Amino acid sequence: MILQTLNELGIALVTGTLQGSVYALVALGIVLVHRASGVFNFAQAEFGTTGLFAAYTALTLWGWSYPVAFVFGLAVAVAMGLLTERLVIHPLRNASRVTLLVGTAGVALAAVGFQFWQFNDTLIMTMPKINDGFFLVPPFGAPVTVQQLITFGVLVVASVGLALYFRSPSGLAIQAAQQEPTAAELVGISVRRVSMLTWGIAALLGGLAGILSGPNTTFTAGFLSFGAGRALLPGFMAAVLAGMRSMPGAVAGGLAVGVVEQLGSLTIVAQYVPGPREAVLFVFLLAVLLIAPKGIFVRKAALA
Amino acid sequence: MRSTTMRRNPGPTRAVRTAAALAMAAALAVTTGCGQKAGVAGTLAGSGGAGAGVAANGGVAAGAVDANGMPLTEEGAAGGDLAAGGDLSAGGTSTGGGAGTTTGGTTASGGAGGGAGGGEAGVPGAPGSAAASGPGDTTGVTDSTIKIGVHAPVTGAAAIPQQSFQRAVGVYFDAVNRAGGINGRKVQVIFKNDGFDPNQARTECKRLAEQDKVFLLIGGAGADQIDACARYASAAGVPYLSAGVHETRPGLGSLASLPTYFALSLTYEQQVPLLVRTTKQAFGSDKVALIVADNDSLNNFYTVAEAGMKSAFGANLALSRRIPKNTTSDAPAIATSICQSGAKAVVWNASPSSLLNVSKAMACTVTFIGPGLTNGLNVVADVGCPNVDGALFYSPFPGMDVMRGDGAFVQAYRNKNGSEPDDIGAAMYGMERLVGEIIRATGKNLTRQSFMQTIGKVKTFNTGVYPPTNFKTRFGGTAMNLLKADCGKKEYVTVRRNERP
Amino acid sequence: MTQTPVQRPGEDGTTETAEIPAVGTHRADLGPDATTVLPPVPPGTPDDELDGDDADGLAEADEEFRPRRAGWLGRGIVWALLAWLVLAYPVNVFSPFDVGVADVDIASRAVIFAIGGLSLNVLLGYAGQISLGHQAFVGLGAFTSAFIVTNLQLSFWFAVVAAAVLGAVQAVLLGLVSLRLTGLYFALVTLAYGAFAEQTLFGISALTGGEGGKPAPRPVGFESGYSYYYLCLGFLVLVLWLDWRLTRSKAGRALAALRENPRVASSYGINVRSYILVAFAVSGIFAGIAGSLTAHHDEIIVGSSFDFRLALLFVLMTVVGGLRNRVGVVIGSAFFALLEEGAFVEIVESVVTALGFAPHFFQNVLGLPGEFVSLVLGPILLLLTLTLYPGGIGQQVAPVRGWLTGGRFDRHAGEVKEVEVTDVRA
Repeated sequence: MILQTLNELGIALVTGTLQGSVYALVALGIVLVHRASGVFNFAQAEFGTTGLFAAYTALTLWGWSYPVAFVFGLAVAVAMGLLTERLVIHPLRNASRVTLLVGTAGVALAAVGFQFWQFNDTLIMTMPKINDGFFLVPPFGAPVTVQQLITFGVLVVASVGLALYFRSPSGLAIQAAQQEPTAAELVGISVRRVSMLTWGIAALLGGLAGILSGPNTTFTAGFLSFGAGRALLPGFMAAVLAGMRSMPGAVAGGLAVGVVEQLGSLTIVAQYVPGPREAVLFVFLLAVLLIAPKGIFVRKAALA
Repeated sequence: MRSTTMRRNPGPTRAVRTAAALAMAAALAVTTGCGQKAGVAGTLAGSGGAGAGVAANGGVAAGAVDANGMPLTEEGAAGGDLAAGGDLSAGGTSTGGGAGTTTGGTTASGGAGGGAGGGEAGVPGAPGSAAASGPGDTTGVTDSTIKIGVHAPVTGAAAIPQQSFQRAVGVYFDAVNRAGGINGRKVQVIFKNDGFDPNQARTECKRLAEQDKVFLLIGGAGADQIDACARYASAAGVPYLSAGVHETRPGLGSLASLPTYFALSLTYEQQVPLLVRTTKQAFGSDKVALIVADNDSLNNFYTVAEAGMKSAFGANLALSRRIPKNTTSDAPAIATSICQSGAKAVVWNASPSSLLNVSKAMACTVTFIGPGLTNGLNVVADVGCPNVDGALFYSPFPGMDVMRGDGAFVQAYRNKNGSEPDDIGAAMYGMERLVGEIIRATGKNLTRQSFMQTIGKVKTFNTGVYPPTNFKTRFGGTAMNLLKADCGKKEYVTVRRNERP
Repeated sequence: MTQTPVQRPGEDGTTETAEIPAVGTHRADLGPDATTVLPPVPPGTPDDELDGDDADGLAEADEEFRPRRAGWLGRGIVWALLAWLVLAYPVNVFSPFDVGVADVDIASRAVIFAIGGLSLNVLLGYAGQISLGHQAFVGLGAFTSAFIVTNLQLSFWFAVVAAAVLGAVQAVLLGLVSLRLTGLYFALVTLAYGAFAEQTLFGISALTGGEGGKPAPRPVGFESGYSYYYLCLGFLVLVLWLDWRLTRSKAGRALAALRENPRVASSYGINVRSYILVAFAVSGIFAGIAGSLTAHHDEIIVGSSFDFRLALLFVLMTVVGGLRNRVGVVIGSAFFALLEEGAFVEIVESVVTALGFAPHFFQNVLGLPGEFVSLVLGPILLLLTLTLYPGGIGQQVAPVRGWLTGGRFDRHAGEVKEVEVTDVRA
């Protein structure tokens, strides 16, 4: 019993870290948007699912090649992000943050509605993985797919890329616009363009999360039911762990949430608790928010 | 300076309030005083009331012997037959129908119906005559038409494409109507989507029964939905037919105790001997696994299947577990547990999307074997190949490789839809044909009671698509067809026909 | 900046002229912390002249407005029509169309949704707490009621009270959590709670019947769809009355004050925490009632019905209906219920067909299958409400409402500047 649990813990660690890379990608987008507009972006997951459906359409229905379909999916996701910024965020820029949250929820709802409408006929969809390789990692025999490793790699590249970008002039401009919009305007930084840039990047991250995680399972149009969609809540939790402001914290948080969620799959938990993963996530979120509301993976300097 | 009082929008003045109150009072008086339309009272009493307009009560009372003499308590034993139960009427001659042979028309007449008290054991003679509960309920039947309701999952978590179903429903009856109908009556089919949700299924069945006033209800697929509708239909006195699914649900009792329910093919529990035998034949000395979804309707199946597998395989049953309904995140773990157990074959009873997710996540190769209905649909083969190659699923209807050779079917489908048939079409065709047989066998005097009595009397209906039935009990299936997933053709092909447990 | 001469009545009855600095002038001679000058109000100025709205200085005509005879008649007819629409038409009395038993179930569902919308309105509109897991509140009420009637074999009336109580308890527990968090984080907690409730709480098969669902029979005497509709209407009236009492009560007024200006209000010693908990409790009660009615309406309930989609629907109903506007929320909820059930599509299509267009208007002309109209229309309405018509349906209806209650038909009544969801603790 103990041995089995330890075995499962080891598997949970491996699986959770890999699963967490998707959550980290989503969390990065959430943190980015929050720092820029103060908005909890509920459409972050739908950037991913929209990108996935677009890639699926290009690949399966239009017969494009995989790389082209992949890029197309990302492009559609980015377009959706920019549209959201233009049609919802910008008109509501002076509204309360809660109103903006409702607005992004509306965008998410619209995206799902559109997916239902267009994909109503094919109820089970699959997307091929980039590579179908699969192996069991010793010593616990945790299942690892090459697709998951690729996702993890993309996360690493994205994090490094973002870190470097934010040290560049335009990245600094973004930070300036986030911190002091009026002053930034005065020195010639277009807050408007910065906002669009931020949302574009967030949508790109979301799209990556979606197109990379979609092939792991079958999917069908639905609310928060697969891939990046399911990653919305864990993504937000990771962002909370990062205090809603730290990008490295978002990455660490994503991996942490991934592992914690897998704890729900342990037999000792799953035997007695129905829906164990949701239960674990809920308890974890409560614990984090009530004990350390300012986040855990936050640099002290960033808190200031 | 003017002195005025500062009143913007005055509130409702007394006169307005009085007028409003009078209007509401008048409306209330009218609605409550005048009462409701006649139809409502009939509905309240639980019957339709078209035609003869008699408040028939066909077998509503649970626990008693029902109108057509079939005993009502049959606690879901696998393939349980009429042991200590009541008897069914003697002298059942087969009326009409195809090559229907009458087997078992007579049984020992053990006196008045078994089960609980009351009621007559099946009365021989003309359908519709003195059943225990009174004259026949002819809801949904007129001199020229019969209305039938069908519900099936078109949206929701099922894997069935919407267009397929809309094309499939009514193909058989269309052809029948073209040929003049059944005993002079044309059949009208009303189809409702149940969204793979028992709640919605019940609502749609209620609408079909109470508002559209159908004669009988057919459940297309989806065990939970069939369960919900069957229980409703029995309370409302509407005959309900579906392919065989589970037999009982904890806390709610057996489907066999529902006075108007009939399963047209083998139930899951009844298929266990088939599954065990097939697995043993192909994987006799290998390790095997048993995976069942954790719906509570499958609790009984799991018990029966586990027992059967254990006795056939002993220690070679390396893994036996329930899996959650939603496998998007659990699929890799489930797949790993299967592979780690070393099983070469998995006896599987869970949803098609779970099958696809788990098979996609597998590092090793296994053969899936299981009771059919949804897992044996071609969409599963289409999406799941190559991982599901060689999967063996039992189905009430044969694969398209056989059905394409059924000229009547192909022609009927083409006539209705102008396109080539698919397996959903075959599924519905088989079911509709069987139901049509029973209606034809009932004859001109068609009531709900006579319909159900005919099932009990004639028992065997052989349509050539579904295996022949034998309604010794409400679970009338006798055999199933074995289908195998052929990834070369991306569809299921027929391996064995009409295999009996 | 010029100086404005103003006539003032002097002490002895004469008028004298004084030079009053114009608005915005900074009076340096009054010292470093002199504030800008506002024009003084001569004593005796009638209230109507205080209004700066009118360009020509005349007071708005606010003599008491009385409708003419024809106006009374018109109002009476509309009231009667409304009464007919609500009380008689759904139960097939004096109805030009045949409203069947299943159709009246749709009407009942609309009423139940209205109660649910009012429930979220208390949280979102009055207390400014955003709840994305509201379907869990309703679901708990539903399963409680079903369990009590089916397993414990007690009467429906006891079950609905128990559902309301349990709903309140659950809501207050979440309210305690919300006291420690700011609004957006609380939204996350409710989202997680909704998922937790749907999978874990409603997944306890022994209590909730698993995927096959839990039966919940109708109460004795209300088995028919028609009588159940009246039962639901009765509960709606009760809920509306309770809501009205809440807004009139000390708690309600305190919450309103907190919404206007949280810091000032709390400095008056308003106990923010307890009033928020009161709001949660009331919201929970309403949700429990809605849940119980839903359970017995459907007669079989499954946990998967209470999913995130329903949570979003609740938010839609309340926001598009118009926050804090009871009539708007009721109409909005009913509208979305009809939309969900497909009745809206049917009605629109029958009207459009009668006008001569092609049948199946949505499918053929717009290319949108009927089932998805709700999924597409919902977000469009939400975004329209947020950006263009913040008062929602309530704003659109306000002129008619004013007219019906004996006032003028004022096109601008009910106008709201933006959708205000003000966290009262901000």
